[in-house]
Amino acid sequence: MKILVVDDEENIRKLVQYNLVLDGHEVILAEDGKEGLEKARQEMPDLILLDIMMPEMDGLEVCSRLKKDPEMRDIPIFMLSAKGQMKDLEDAFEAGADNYITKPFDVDKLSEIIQFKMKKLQEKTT
Amino acid sequence: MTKKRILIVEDERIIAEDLKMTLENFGYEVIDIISNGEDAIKTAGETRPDLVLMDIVLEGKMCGSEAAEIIHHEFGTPIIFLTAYADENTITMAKASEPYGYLIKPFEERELKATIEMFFYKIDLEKKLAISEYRLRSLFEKANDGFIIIREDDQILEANIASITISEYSQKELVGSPYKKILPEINIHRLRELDKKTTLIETYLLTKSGRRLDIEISYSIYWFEKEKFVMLIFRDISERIQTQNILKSRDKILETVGKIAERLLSSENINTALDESLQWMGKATSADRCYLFKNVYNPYNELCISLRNEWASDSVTSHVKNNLLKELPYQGNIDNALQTLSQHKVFFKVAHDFNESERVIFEGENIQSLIWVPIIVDKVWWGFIGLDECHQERMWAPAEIEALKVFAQTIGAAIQNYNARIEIQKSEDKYKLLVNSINDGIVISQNGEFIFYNTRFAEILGYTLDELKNINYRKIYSKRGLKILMDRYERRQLGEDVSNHYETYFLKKNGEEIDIDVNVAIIDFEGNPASFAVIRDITQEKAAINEILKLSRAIEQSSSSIIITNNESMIEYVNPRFTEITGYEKEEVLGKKMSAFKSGMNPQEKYKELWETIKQGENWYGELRNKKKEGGVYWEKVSISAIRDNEGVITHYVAIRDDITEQKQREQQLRENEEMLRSITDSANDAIVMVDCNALVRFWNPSAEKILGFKEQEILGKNFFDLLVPDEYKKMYDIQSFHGKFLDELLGSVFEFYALNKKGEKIPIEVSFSSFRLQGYWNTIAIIRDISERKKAEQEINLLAHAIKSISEAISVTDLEDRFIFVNKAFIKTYGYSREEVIGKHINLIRSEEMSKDTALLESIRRDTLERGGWQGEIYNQRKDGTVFPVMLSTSLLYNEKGTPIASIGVARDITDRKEWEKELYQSRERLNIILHSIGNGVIVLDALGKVIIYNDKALELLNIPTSFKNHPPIKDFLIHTEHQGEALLSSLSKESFSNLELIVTEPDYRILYVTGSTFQDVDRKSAGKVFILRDVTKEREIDRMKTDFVSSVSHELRTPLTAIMGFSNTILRKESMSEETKHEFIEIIYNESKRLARLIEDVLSISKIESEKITYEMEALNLDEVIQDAITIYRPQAEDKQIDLLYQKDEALPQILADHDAMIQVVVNLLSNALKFTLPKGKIDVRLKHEGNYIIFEVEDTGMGIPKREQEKIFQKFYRIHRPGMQIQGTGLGLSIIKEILEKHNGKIDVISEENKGSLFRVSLPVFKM
Repeated sequence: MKILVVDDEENIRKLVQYNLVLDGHEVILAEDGKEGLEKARQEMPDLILLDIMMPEMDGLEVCSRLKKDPEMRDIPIFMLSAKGQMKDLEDAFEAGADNYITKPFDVDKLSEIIQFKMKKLQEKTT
Repeated sequence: MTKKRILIVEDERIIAEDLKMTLENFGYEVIDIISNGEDAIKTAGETRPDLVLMDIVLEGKMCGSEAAEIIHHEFGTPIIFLTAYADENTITMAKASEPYGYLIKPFEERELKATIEMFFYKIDLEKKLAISEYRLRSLFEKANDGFIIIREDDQILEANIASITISEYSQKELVGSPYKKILPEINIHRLRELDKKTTLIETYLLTKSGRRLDIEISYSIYWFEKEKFVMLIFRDISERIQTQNILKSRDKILETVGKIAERLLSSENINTALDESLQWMGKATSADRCYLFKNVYNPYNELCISLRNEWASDSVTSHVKNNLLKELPYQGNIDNALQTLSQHKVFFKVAHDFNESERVIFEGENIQSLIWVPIIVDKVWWGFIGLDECHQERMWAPAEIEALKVFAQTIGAAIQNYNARIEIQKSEDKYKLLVNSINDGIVISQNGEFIFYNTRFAEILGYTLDELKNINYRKIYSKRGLKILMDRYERRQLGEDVSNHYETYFLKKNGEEIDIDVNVAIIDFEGNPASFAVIRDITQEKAAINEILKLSRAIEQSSSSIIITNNESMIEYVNPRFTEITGYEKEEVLGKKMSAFKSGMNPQEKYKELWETIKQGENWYGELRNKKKEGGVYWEKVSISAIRDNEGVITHYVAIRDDITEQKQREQQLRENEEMLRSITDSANDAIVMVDCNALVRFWNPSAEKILGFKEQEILGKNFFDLLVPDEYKKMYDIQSFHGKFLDELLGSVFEFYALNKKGEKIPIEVSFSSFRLQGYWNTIAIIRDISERKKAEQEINLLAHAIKSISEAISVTDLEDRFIFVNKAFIKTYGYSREEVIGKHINLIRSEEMSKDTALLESIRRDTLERGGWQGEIYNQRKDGTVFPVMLSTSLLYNEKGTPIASIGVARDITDRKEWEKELYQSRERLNIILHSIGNGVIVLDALGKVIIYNDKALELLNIPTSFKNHPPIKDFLIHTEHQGEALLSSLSKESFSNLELIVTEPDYRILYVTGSTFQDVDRKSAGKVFILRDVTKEREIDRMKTDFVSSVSHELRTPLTAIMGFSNTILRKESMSEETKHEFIEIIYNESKRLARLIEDVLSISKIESEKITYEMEALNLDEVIQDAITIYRPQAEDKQIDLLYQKDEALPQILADHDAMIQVVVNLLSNALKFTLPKGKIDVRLKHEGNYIIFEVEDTGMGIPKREQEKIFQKFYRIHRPGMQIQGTGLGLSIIKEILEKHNGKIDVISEENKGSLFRVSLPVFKM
């Protein structure tokens, strides 16, 4: 699976990348919202992991733009954020996010969630 | 099936093991092998085996039988003993545990198996039996029906709870007793012989208390061990029987009602029929009395019961003897009877519910219960029928009551029917009555028999009506009468015309002969001629004629002179007395007119009146003065009556004259006296009233009429007490025993009483009584004076005096020389002097010193009082104790009847309190005003109409209202700059109170106001208004928002390094095959992120400390230069590493600043480290310290990447971090905000000048420290 990871924190990117690669995924990285949007268009990933608090363009903006784009709206977007209040979740789903994972997260759990959720989404579409 | 569990208790291990194996072979489970008694008990308790095999002889203290006993009793576990010897002693000991058996050692396998199997079979069977018996027994015990089992010897073997309850005996009393004790009518032997179930038997059960209880019995017979038992099952059916009885009773009543209806409706004599009906009903209901009461009204118009008909059984006395029942008002005597019966409902009562009055009424009648059913005649409640029970309380079942109602209805119908018949008969009776009531006897006879005669006829003859029926008509004639009868008969036979009107003689029953006037006519009666005679007893008339004869003789000899004239006044007769008195001879007067003898001394009018009276046939009475023949004058009392002939025409006059000359002379004298008295009494202003011994008014003068309203003719002869004396005095005086003399203590003195006038009003009178005897009887004269005017005046004076005394104002009356002549209570209280100390003293006594000197004031009071009639104003007076106090004084003048002033009145009120109060009020208003305008909240007060009556400047400021208002503007004028024109507030105006209503001011700045509203009331608690308090919460809200933001930012910032730390450590742990290199790299990341986290926490803590002002700066005078030098020393190696030029320039002789040393280090270090962070290698950092005016300026300028314009404002916000693509710059985003906070606390500031990609200049200003 091709996964785009958008996060401004280098260490987080590194962390997610390492683990997803180990799980056998192809990982593409982006440092901020703007880059994330560009990479998504170029690469057409199977899944996007998106941080919210980012310079240039925040994750919510990226998400809602992607979801408005007819070509990319079907790419599942999992928000990956340190913001854990109810309001933040609501905003994320409002923007069209498919899932919301709060930081800090368990690396194993992340893998599981990705697998489980992707399976569910596939079942839905077929 | 589960395996049976066996516990072996055996101290010989080999035997035990062997036993175990054997048992297990048989298919049992051996739980355990125990070798001593104590353990056996314990294990048995824990495991609860089905069976214990117990060796009697055991090791340890406790032997087997002992342990077995405990196990058996504690846990109910069955025991089989294993024993080597079967001596008696052992067995006896073992028996205590009720063992199921013994196995004697050594035992054979077969024996063992048989014993144990037998044992379990027995156990099983016993259990089944126990269950079945339990089931039967519970059926037996808990059944609602009574069960008894009777033995062959007729004794009760068992009785269940129900049978005990029903029979009232205890179990002990029943069991063993012969069944006849409770079932006397049952013959068990016959039942036994029948030996089969027959139908149910109805009988009764005799309870312990002797009650007969109706029961229904079914039975069964069984054999047990050759004995035959009878089981009887019985059920209480008394209720059913009772219902049957009630229905029977109802049917009986209804049947009787049928009979009664027939009897009543066909009967001529309703009373007899009613009597009979009551008797039948009484018997049918087996009541003791059956009676009928009619409603009547007594003279007080109270509705009463009145006994009409009654039947009473022989065993009781009848109501008739009870006088109370004759006319007994319902109300107050028989509770609820009126209420119930008048609503056409049945009234029922039992003796123990009788109240006092009822008990009195029914005393001696032994009534236990009574039921009264209303009788309705023509839809109106007429009375009631009643039934008494005298021997027991009887509860009437609804069915019976319904039947009784039918009975009452029948009676009602009969009465109605009877009344209708009576109506008809009445018209017939009317004629009969007429005939009977006329004064003449009427008799119709035919063929010598009386066909009809009236009561009068019988009366005349002295017979009763019935006696006359069987009397031969000849018998009523006397001898003389019979002769006349015969004579008339003969004459009629001879064809002579016989007069229809004649006189004859009858013979009364008592043999007396009477004169009879007969008027006879022949009438046709039922086709035959009959004689109809009207007869009149004229015996007395006849006697009267005889009397006249006697009279005329009396006239001759009369002592009065008697003159008879014809109707033209011609004298026809004079008696001897006339000649004697007048001196005229008979011959001289006969044939002469009366006028010839006029004396000429009587007034002409008198004669006129005399003639007019007697011409009309009326008697004239009067007194005349006549002359004697010789000329002497004499007084005569004369009465003249007319004599009429048969046709009623006046033919003669009779004059009866008595010489009253002497009497007349006495009278004259008396009259003169009386005239004199009367003229005195008439002219008296007081009422003079005389009453005689019977309290009748005998004298009444004009003043009495004036005072009491009655005219003389109205009151004379009337009862004095009835008309004139108010009720309260009647009680004082026993009217019955009044003999014309008042009580001695009332005589002579003058009393004030009340009398009633004609209108019935009470008027106050002053009265004096005097009694005197007149012709042997006491008479009383009352002289009465109307004192109502006086009373009124007195009352008014009293009232005024009372008013003056009791009013709270101090009142004084002073004479014209200003000396006190009167003071009231309040005066004494106010000034502290006693009345004696004041009266006669000069008014200066109470004037304050100051006032006494104020001649102008005194003069003005004096002048206004005298010339204008009064003065009013506030002055200062002095009390006895010397205190001076303010007084509101008003004066006025008092005049005498002639209009000259005689005194002045002063009314003074102590107004100390009012003064104080006014002062306080003023102060509190001022206070409130100050508060209102100085408080930080806006205040707006509305009146009830929604107009703003009070507001403060703060309110204007908060609502952005530029100018003050002149009048009272409506509240909406205050809200023009608020969101939706203050809609939020306006819609809440009707609420009693509210708090924290959000009102948003839109111009000129966005501002949030919290409004608290409450309702207030005026002192009079009438008009309600509203108070609004406006609080500006814009800042508070901003701070709130910032706090929330801060918390969420902090948590976000904390999570970011935490994610890395957790993630990498987790990854290391997860991936077993990881190169040391990668691992090292990850650990380094973890380390760095941990440092970041620590730094972050440090910064967060320090900023929150600064913000919450928890940090205490130790302010001291310091040289910033020193701080900078130290910092540069620390950072220089770093700068060199990055090949950055770090330069420091400073002014000479820099002044000190007042600051916290550590805080300053933080500022400098933060700025330096930032510069290093953002400056690319080979760049330059300039640090400068300058003195400009009152400030020390500290600058750090770098050649870094600079800050874009739009970000320059944000960099001082918390957690804001400059971000550059491709660059990872460590930091918490708090450094600059901490600096900013610190500087603010030091009255300094920080500015930034920067250009993107060129560099930044941070400039810190701090005030110079001045000593």
